[in-house]
Amino acid sequence: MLHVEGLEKRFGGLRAVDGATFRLQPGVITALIGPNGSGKTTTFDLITGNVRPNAGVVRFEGRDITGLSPWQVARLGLGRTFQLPRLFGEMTVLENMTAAVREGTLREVVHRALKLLDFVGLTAHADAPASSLSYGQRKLTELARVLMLRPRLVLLDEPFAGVNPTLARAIADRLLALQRQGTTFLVIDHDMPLVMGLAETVLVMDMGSVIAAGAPKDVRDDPRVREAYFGTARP
Amino acid sequence: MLWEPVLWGQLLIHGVMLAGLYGLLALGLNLVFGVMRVINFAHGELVMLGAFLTFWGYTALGLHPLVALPFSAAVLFGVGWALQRLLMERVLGGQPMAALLVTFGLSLIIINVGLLVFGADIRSIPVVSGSLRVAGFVVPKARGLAFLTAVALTVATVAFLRWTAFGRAIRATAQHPEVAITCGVDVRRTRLVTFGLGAALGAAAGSLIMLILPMDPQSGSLLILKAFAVIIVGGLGSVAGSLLGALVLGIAEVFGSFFIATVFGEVMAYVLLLLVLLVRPAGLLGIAER
Repeated sequence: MLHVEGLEKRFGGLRAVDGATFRLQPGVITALIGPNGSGKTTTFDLITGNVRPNAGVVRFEGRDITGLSPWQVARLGLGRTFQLPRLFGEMTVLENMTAAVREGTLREVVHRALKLLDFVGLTAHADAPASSLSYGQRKLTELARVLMLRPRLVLLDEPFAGVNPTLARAIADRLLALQRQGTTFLVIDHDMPLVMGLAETVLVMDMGSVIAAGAPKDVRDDPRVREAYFGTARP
Repeated sequence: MLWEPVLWGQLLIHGVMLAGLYGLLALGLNLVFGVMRVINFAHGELVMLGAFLTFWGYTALGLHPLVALPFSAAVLFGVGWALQRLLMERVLGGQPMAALLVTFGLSLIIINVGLLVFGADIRSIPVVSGSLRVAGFVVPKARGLAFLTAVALTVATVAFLRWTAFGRAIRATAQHPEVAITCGVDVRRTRLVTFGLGAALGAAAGSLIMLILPMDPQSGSLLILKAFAVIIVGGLGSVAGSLLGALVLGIAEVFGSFFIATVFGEVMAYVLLLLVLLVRPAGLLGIAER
């Protein structure tokens, strides 16, 4: 599905991402965790072309996408959301949904957008200006909007941050439903219980590289992970 | 001055007709500002180029200005595209002042090339003459024609921005380029088309203005001042605002020149600019600087 190898990004003297290497299996929800500043969001930026890597290769479905522009990556079926939801504030929710889609007639696109808004429970807000939405509703709109591209892989940057537990559960349920339909997810989050319950695989980043990967339980017990999070473990 | 309904109605009609042209004049400038976040100081010169192309089509080829208009708009679309591709792309995203200076330099170059090629004579396209009486009011045919065409083009542009995929991509790029690009919008191409579209709209506005007002190669600098006034009054980047701004300027010019002094019409743009900047710097419908 996605194959990242030796990805590297330096900002001045800082190695934000330093040789990150991992693979994602299709149809699986993978969590990407790690302490603040470990390079998770930069890794997203490098995969989607928002930032150009200094070294390394990103392959999506066997195709080298390193250095492609973000819009090319998006059109190949690799979508992403942001840590803070970014909507087109002066457009309605429905216009946000249809802002980028080019395939199909306007009627078809709107039909699909309404179906997705129904999926995230925002039908009633379709014609509201995006700027009038609550924070949680913005997160849901952004999720629905990225689905408009019919992505096969979606990178979600902290989809549960700052939303109440009920909404977080609702978002998690939507992700599981999409996964059953075959969508692959890579999810950054700090809500450990939620992420551990959601993801089949966990990747742990520290200091810009992936230090552990595996099933949630194994990763949790990995001493390197404990060290990254809590400092050196004392016996 | 006395309250005379017929006179006031007549003035209002003239003001609104002028406003239709000013709205189209400012639309291209505002569109480019919205997407590029740079004021194109050469917009007035693109307007002038479009007008002179139409004038040339009329005198050399005998084309009716409304027939020549689409061709001149198409040529200016290409000019706008090329300017963005060869010039603006290199300076956008860097120092804002650099982009401003480039467009300023461009306007000087176009004016002087225009003087060389077209000469300094004042030209007009007096193809439509006479006037109609509508409900007791006098409507000069040329003004009516220019007004209706300008309104049709403005409506078409607004509809394009609102209801087509490419229009939505332009609006998305204007609001949030870095998000638009992750939604699959080819931002670079969108900017090329936007600059082309802005120039084409300017060419259309210039062609229509030449139906009612004589122009010379230096007229662009006067016209861009009016376009500035329109979008500052209405609010930078707001299409609805710029239509309102055009209405305010058109009516103010007509009433100013009638009740105060003819020259006062030309001063109105400055007066409105100063007033709005003093009282409501974001413009009537403007969004505060984000």
